[in-house]
Amino acid sequence: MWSNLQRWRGVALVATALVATVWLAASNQLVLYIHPRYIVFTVIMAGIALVLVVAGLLARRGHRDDEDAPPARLPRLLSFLGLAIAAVIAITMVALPPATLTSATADQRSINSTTVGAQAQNVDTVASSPAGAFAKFTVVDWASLLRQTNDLAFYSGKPVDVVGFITVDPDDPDNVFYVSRFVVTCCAVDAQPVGIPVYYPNWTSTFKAGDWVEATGGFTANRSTTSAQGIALEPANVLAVEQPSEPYLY
Amino acid sequence: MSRTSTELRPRSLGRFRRALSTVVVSLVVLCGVFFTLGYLQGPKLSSAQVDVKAVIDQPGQQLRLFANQPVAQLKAAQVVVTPGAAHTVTTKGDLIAVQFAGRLEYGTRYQVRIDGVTSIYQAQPSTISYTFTTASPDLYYLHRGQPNDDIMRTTLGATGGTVVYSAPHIQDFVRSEGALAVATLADDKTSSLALVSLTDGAVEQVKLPEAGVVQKLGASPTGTMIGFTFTSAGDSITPAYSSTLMFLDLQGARVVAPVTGLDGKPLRVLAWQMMPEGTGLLALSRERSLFLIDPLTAGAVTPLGQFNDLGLVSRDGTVVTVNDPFGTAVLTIADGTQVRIAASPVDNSGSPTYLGVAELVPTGGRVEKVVIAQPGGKRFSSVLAFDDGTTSTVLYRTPNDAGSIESFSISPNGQYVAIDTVPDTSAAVSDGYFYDARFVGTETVFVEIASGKVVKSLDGFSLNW
Amino acid sequence: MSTRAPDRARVDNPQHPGHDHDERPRLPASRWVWMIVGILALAGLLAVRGLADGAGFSLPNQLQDLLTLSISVVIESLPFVILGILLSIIVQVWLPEGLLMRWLPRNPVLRRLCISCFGIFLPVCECGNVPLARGLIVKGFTVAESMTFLLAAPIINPITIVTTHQAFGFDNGILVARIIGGLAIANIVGWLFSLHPQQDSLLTPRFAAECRRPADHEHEQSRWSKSVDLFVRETSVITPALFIGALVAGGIQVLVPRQVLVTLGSNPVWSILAMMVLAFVIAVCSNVDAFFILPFASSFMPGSIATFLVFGPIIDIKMLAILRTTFTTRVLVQLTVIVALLSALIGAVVNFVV
Repeated sequence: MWSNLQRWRGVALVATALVATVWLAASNQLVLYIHPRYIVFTVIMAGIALVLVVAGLLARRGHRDDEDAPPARLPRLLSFLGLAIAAVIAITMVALPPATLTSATADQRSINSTTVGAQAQNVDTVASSPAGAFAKFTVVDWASLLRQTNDLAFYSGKPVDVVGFITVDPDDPDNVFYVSRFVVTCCAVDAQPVGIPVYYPNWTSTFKAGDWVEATGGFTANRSTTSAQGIALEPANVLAVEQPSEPYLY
Repeated sequence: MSRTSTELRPRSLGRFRRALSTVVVSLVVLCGVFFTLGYLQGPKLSSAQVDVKAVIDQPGQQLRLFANQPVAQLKAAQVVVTPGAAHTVTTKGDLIAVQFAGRLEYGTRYQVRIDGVTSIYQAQPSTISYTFTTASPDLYYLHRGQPNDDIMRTTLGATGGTVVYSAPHIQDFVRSEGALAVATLADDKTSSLALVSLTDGAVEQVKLPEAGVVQKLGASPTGTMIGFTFTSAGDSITPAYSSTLMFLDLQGARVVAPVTGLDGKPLRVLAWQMMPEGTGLLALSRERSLFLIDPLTAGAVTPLGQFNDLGLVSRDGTVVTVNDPFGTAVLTIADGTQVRIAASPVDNSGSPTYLGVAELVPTGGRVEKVVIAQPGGKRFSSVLAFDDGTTSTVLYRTPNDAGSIESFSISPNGQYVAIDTVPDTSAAVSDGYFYDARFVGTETVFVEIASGKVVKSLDGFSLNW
Repeated sequence: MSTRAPDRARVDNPQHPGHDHDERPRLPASRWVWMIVGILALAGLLAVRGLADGAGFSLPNQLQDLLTLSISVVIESLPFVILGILLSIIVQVWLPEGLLMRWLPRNPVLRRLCISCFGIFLPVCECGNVPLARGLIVKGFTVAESMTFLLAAPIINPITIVTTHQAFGFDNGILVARIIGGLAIANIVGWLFSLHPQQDSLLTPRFAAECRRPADHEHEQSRWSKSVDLFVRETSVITPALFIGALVAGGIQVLVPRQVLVTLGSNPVWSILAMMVLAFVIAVCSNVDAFFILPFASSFMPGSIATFLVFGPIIDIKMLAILRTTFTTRVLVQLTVIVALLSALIGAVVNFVV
């Protein structure tokens, strides 16, 4: 029993994880967990590993003699415990619906605590962009611009249309929220929440934190008296929308 | 499998333990030393951002200095800018933002030194210093030659220039954001208007309402509005257009349309000027009424009063000089208040001075064309002077006072004045253009306002800063 | 390939039909049954997965995020672990005996220096290097030498160098500090542990036993079946550690407010420590950690970033869980202390100089 458990636990865990990976890849949901650039590599390695797993079921075992002696009681117990925990994660991988990170993590990681990545928009290039370019700007683009300049004149005539989920501005929880997205460099673990402040008095009566919305409008001086944000989106319209299929930005 | 180690067989566990503890202790000591050194060093500059072009074009630009750690609040007095420039300083995290109140000087090496910079965590002060050289703006001017006239681009420091656009009989041109509007004169004495892209040189002909003459081109260098007066060709007694003010929005429909007055009818003007920012303009109608008009907004016509002539709008767009039968006044555009101005005596000589066109310098004072009576009162000479409100100093006079000062324009940062001048009027010959004729040999002279030094001169005119 | 393996074995060893290990000319029917059961189980998992997707229930946010984060670590790391195991199999089974040994210098210091540069040719990040390092020990490297490889490889692997360069260029000496620092740490640690008189005692008893096993099984299995066997054994060691490491990493992410670390990170005194703690809890792959830390570059001091980039690939919560499969806790504590001090020193020097 001990020996069999020792031998097959890895294969079982790997197989479960691989099945989950392959299924996520097939249903286009792998992006919920990792950066798209890893998808091809992950799927290839999963394919190779699945072949090895099946082969492993057939293969004869070498060195059986050494593994037959079970260790002492305590290490054995710990080993069982560890395996149980690993098994729980493996089971959740197949049994629970895949999910994106929630606003709880956004709160915990403190929104806009970093500058945004290398591909983000730059004030100089944006200033000379044609008007139509702004329609494609994401939360990340605007957030990086807001970080670079607070010059209201820069934002005038630049319409904003962004999709993101709601996180609360702790300084003015009733009137200001962030339309936010996670920015991922590798996998969900390193996701950084990024958002743009929206001045929407009494928003909690219409939405709740974590709701996905599409906000349109333009940036103006923030009318909130307690928020630390100098500039906020004055929304012409805030619509509840479905979570996009690629919830993270890169 | 057997160990195939090539290591000498170590003697005992003791040696390993000793080595381990020695390594750990020495690392702790080294870390301590470098931590202390770093602690005593104070904040350092890790990077800096400044737009050397924007600082000369716009006021209120920032030099952003990033320290390697969050810095405590600074006072403006701790920041020393050489050569001097009015500034404020703010800090946020590791960013020290030095904001310049006005525009900086062209092509100048600035040093910004900040003394007593401390981290928010410790009191160890350090000095941060950063040096940058501002850009020199592109200057555009018109050079009339044979067989073609050229629009040239150059800078203050450059010798010579490059041809941006070349065509026969260029009447005038004006620069707007990203494009030049060029009026050329055909043999049949009608104008055509072309837009020349400054990015790729592409030329686009503008459709005019009918055959006619384009004059008094104007535009804001940072805007996309172009205006001009248009007069129908032919000798009709009731022409459709007669000095009618027209506008063209490069960002909008790109269709030429008349500017309408209070009555909603096309406005015929004696003079007009584009506001430096935005889409507004000032127009002096034939009835000598001055209006502030935004052609893009229906009904946005504000009457400002009755005047004989329109002078120059200040660079910040707040005031304009105007003439009425009683003399010259500075008119505040926002509220219509007027302040009479008169030329201060030149060099305290006591000789009478008569004020001509004046323009306010963004950094204070006025540059004005004045006529000075020579001793004896028999001869008068026209000079360009800087007037600080109590006295005037001569900035430029033509050699032997033989020439004339046609017009002038102050650089956006208030550092230089470009003077359109004919060196010797007695010898001057007209180039014979039917409209917008100029004397052959008209040149543009650049004078630094602060020092009165001539820094450059060009063979051409119609200078666009 | 799996079906060919037994035939090869039979041809290779015709004179040992009744060997007392699993050495049989033909696979018993039960094996085929197991394989079918296994494949059915895979299909069953897939079916469960498909069905579960429609289930419309949701967990509390925090618990949901814990699972999302842990699963994300597993999904991200698993391909690299598999790649590492494949490379380990190549080293142990397919490389001609003694090939690596022949080319290495005899002098132990130079030898470790060469070994620390192996990583330049291996695009594997830290978790994948553990099985490879295990393979090197089995193949006859000393524990100290293998440790040298293990510490240097994730930092000087080509992808890491390229991404670090993309993120930071040559600004502030971060890239140089990272490469030189990584090599220095690996060689210093390698030297230190080479002084240990009983190299085997650095290893977990189970792994030490595996290494001690005589090489006389070589002839009994074909290379293919040996490879598959190695895969089964290595996954059984590494995967549970990876899963538990992922869970711990996810749990810390949910519990420790990142803001605390970020605030500390801008303090010149605490930044280096904060960055080490951040690297420890975040357990991000060395191939991309430069991109992860880049957004922080403006608020953190360059030395702290260098520390993050040197310490993170070697020591983090997930890595310790995986390393524990091979090294004793005592060794891991010593390793962590030395690596932490060395990374802190590198950071302090960079902060002072740049």
